Amino acid sequence: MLLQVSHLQKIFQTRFSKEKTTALRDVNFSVEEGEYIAIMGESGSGKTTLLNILATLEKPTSGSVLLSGRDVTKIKENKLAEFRRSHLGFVFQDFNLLDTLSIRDNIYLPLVLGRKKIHVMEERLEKLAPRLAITDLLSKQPFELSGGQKQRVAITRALITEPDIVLADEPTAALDFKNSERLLTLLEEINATGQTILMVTHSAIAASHAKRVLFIKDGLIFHQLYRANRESSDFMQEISMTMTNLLGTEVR
Amino acid sequence: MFYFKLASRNIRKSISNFLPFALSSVVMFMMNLMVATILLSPSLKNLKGSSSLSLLLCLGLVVLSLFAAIFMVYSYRFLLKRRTKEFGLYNILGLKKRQIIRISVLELFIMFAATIVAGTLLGIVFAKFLYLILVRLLGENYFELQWSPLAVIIVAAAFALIYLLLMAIGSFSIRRKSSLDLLKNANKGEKEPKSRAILAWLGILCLMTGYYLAVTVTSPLDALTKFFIAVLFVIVGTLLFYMSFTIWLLKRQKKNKNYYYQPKHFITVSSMLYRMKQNAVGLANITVLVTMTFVTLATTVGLYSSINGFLDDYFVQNTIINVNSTEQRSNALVDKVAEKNGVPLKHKIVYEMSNSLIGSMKDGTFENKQTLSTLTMVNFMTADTYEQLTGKKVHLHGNEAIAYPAVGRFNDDSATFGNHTFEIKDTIYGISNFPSISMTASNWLILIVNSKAQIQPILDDAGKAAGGQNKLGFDTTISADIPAKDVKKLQTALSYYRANGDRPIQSTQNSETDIDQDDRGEAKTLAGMPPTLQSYDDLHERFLSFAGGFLFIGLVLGFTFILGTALIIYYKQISEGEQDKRSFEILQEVGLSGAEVRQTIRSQVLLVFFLPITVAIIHFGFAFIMIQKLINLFGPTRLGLLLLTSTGTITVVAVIYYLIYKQTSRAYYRIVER
Repeated sequence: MLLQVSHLQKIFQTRFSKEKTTALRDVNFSVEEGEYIAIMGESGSGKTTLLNILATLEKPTSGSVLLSGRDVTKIKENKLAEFRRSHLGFVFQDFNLLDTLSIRDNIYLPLVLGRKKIHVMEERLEKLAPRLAITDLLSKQPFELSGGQKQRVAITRALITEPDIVLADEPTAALDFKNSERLLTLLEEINATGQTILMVTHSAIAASHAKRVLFIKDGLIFHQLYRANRESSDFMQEISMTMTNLLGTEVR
Repeated sequence: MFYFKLASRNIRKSISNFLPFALSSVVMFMMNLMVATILLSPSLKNLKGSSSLSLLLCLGLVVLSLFAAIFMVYSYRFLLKRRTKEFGLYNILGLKKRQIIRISVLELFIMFAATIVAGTLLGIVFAKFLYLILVRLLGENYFELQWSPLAVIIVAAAFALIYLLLMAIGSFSIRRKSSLDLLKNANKGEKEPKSRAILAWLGILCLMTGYYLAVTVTSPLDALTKFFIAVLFVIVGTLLFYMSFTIWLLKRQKKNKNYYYQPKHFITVSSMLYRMKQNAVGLANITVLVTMTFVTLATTVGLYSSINGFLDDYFVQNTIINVNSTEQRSNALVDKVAEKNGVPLKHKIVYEMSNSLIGSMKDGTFENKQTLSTLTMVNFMTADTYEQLTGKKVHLHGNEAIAYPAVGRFNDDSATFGNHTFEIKDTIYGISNFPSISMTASNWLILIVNSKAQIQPILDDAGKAAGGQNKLGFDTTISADIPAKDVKKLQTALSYYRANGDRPIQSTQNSETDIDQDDRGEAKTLAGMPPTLQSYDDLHERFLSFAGGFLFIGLVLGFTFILGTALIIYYKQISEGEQDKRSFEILQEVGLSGAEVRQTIRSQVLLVFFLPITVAIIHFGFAFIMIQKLINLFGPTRLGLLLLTSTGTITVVAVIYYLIYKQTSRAYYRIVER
């Protein structure tokens, strides 16, 4: 068991008002090593809060998140940055590349922060670059790249630290259909090499490439679907159906 | 009316954007108004040396208003940049560009009106305060200052011109952009700047030229002419230096992988490099302004604090009387007149010297040319006089001479005047009971020779070259301590006499001389010139009014420069903070801890803080040589004192600069940190 989430609750309360907002009520699920999981939900369902907690960017009100047996919610503030850069990989919807760095340096960034040796960085990039088809882009600046290229660079940056798990937040949201498809296939390929991926999305197409889909609504996980050996298009049908049928009604 | 409402609402709603602009507008107006009020106030006439003072104030006002124009443009362009999105929204929502321009013009108009009201009120209040400082600096006690409506009108007119310029700039920039441009105005990515070796070399060349000019000035007048050229070279050089040299340096650091791929250097070097093109201009501006502040304040403070030194060097005793006649006759006359008027002459020192020869002294050859860089005043003194002054006996044979370069340098083995050459036996650096400075701006060389007869031909030649009628000879200087109340009496009594070289001294009925009217006139030549009398107190007063006026303008300009620096730094921090906000968010997500973020920010901020001030101090180091020569215009500088005042000024300015930086850095942190 790589990731074990139990009884996760998150309540937001603004400083000057008594009103409380419950983002997560009671979330329980687990992820095995090598899995590819999509968490689906409408906006406001609490999926981004869940991802932020998994990413250690936010602390839950109660509950625990065990990554390889270690409770990430208990890690001290000053150790968090180091934890993030050695155990987690991030892919964001708007890529989050630094304009000031070249593509190569953007990819190196987490390794540089982790004080890795240059030859280690170079070796890892050499292995990754052809797989993600970014070898020709390495010397360019971010503004010279298309959205799809940028997202491939962001994925390379997430993978180069050899993380326990890659967390992806709506990775296809800023891409057109063709680039989305290409990117999702790429993620599938990466998962095929044994990399665990957890993706948050509201797109049925994106979710259909995962091995398992969790549905979240009003701070609760109330359904899950397994892809088994189906084609992604078939799987998507079922996901869409589930979305319309189940999410249309209120959770009790 | 609708547009007016919209404009005033805009200002109220985005007051944080308008505030720095409004503040700089009001303060600039106030500074200008204060100087103008003092300049136009009738009470200025009651101060000693008011004519030179009003000239200085006039100059100061011109510099100030130019400065105001530059800063307002700078400030307004920053404001415009921040508001393009707002304008873009209006455009999309259906306002025509012409209407948007009308809004922005109205906004400026409101700002202009507010500036005049606030600036006038503040200006009137603070002008009194400023005038108090001026009066104190001049060592006077006349504190009356009326406010003058004329001053307000003049300054308001100047600002109206500035605002017209701003309106033109605003309209132009709005018209030029498409509505989408206006809406987005996102800074598109830019290529990493190229390091252009040729620019780097050009920059270094410019700096070297400027520095070389500063180092090689030979005389005060030389410094005056070369100063502005050197300044221009250094300004251009500074800009090029930042644009090319720093980029080159950063690129080199980047190439060194072991250095570059360290958390501390990685982010600093890359973001500095990314921003260097726009940074270069900002840093160059700050550097130039800081240097200007240094130079202005150090010069004026140095001048002001040197006054006592000059006068001590010049006045061997508290009064100096100069008679254009032989020692014997002059001495007898002054003694006689003093006794008749009951004026005691204490500690009397009398010496005789040739009339001055003024021309170019280069490589040991004197020529009757007015070359500024080598302009030298030469006086001859006989060995007997030297012995009489110092008690030291010197033996000079034939055409041997001893050189005393009181102001400037003299390192040659001989001194040639036409076809007469003196062998320099020795060079000395002081004569006791003799002034070590002159009141002229040129260099000053005293040659001690064997006899009067030796130099009379030289004097005759020089007299002919100068225009015939004037025969050059010897005059006598008598220094003595005279009670302050008797100075005027003696001066008046002496003014009834006429001395003319070897001829007997005559007395006239007329105390007025015609020197001014006919400089070379027959009458004067026949009758001769009256003895001149300079007293310590009188000269001190004149110097103080002059140097005080200078210091006053220096303080006003220095303050304005610092203000300008503060403004530029503030804008720089704000705009960079906004650019860096996103970067630091990403960095934190990728795995940079809060402490590391702070450390990175600090090292960036420190670099940007220390770079301009270091370069400014180096600039000033070279300017110091020129300043020293420039102050020599008014009298010789005491190096130690000038060094002290300069260091003091730099420290004070650096501390103020640091405080500004600390304050504005806060604005940066606030934007960047979540």
